[in-house]
Amino acid sequence: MENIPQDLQQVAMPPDELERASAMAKATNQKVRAAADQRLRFEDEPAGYLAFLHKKP
Amino acid sequence: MNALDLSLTDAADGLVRGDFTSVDLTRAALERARELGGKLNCIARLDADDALQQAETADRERKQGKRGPLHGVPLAHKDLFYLRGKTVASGSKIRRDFVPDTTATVLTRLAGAGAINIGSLHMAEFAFSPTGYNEHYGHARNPWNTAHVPGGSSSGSGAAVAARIVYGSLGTDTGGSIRHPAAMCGVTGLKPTVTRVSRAGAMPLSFSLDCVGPLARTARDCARIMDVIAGADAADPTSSSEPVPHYEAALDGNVRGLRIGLARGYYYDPVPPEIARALEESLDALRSQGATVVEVKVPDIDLINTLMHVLMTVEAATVHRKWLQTRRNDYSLQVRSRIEPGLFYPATRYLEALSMRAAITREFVDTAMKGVDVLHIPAIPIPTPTIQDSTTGPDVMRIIGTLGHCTRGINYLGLPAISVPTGFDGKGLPIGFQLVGRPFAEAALLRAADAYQRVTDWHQKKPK
Repeated sequence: MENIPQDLQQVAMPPDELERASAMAKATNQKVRAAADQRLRFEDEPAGYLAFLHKKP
Repeated sequence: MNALDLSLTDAADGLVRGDFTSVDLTRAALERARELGGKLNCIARLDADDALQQAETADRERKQGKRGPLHGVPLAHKDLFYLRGKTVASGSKIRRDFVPDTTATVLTRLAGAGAINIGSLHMAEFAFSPTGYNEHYGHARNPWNTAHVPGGSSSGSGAAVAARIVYGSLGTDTGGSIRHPAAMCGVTGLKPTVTRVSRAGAMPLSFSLDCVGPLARTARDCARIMDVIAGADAADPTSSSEPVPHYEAALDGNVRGLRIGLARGYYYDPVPPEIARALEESLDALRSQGATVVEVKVPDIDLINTLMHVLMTVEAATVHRKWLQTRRNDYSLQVRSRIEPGLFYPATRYLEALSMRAAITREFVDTAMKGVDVLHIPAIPIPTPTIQDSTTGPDVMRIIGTLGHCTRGINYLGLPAISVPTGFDGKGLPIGFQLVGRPFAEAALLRAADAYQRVTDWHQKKPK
């Protein structure tokens, strides 16, 4: 994961910033992945949100 | 009474009656901006000549019978709305000299309604701070106590409206950036439903979360501004074509039968007794007018906050990646540190956070708002911190995180929310409560807030 900014994003980060951002992202990645495993259905997609907003109660 | 102490709608009425002219009000606003702008560090740019010219035109047009809902009223806005030919720095060093060749749709709409634009207002760097933190241009200050933060990121908007420099201001809200300064400065601030107001020509922080909305002294003032700015815009393909009601016409002062959900639990976790007391009193005032208050349960807000964080940081990192490559030292460390985690999320994680949005919002509306019209929660769950406490020392990150405790999740859900002044803490800093509505239910929020302001006077208090 530490290689993502340097290799893929081409953003050089000093070690302390890299460590802090990486640690935050690692915990968040795990939490979102777990929620997606539990809740996400194949038919869910981002556009469904806008449709929901406009749905009358 | 000083005309600058009037509400926006009262000032507009005074202009209609001929109590004063737009040139009178604009001169007074400019004078006050010069007098207090430095002390509060709330002005980014004053356009005195342009403003006076606009005011002269407004007065001339009025004599010819032309008038708009904001005709001749001086306003100023967060310094991230593009105004053709003027510098729009977005609180940043990187865009210090940026001069757009377009104008934000909302500014065009305000001008079309006759509003005078006296300049632009200070803000947090790239809209990235709930306190208003800005290392490049200094921190804006709270008019109630200049040792304290005004809230951000629309810090200048909150400070300038509270200090009676302008009658109203547009801000943006990605995680609370309208509601924080509204609550901390004792003014009224509305974050509309996402997509309700065009974002064309507003420097983005996060495409999925950004909302444009008003800060003003009263709910009625906010309604008047919303009547002008809300609605579909061809320049912003994400803007909603949902019909726009007449917000101000809906303010009948009647909340009889309104069902208010009181969400304790998560939202009250950090709330100290003095804020809890003020919140309880606000509910009593609404009850006394015939509203019903019932306790409701809210779903997992920690998860909602986490999903919001992924959307915000990934989208912000997308906006800022090139500058992070080439100008990283032109960001403050605090702002850079808040963007950088967005470089670490795979596309699958981002799309999962986006794809769960409909189901999670539905779950929130079906549980927290089941059987109620609006949700009542704190705006800021802790007393407004000092600039010192929120910039140095071991508690900085905790304070910053806690300030958005009751606001940022609402942006993931995309729901409308209004912050309303409701008293003062032991240090004399304002306290606000928040009402949250169903999608596109801005009218219900404005009606409830207006009814509350008809029987209370917190919104009329002004800093010394």
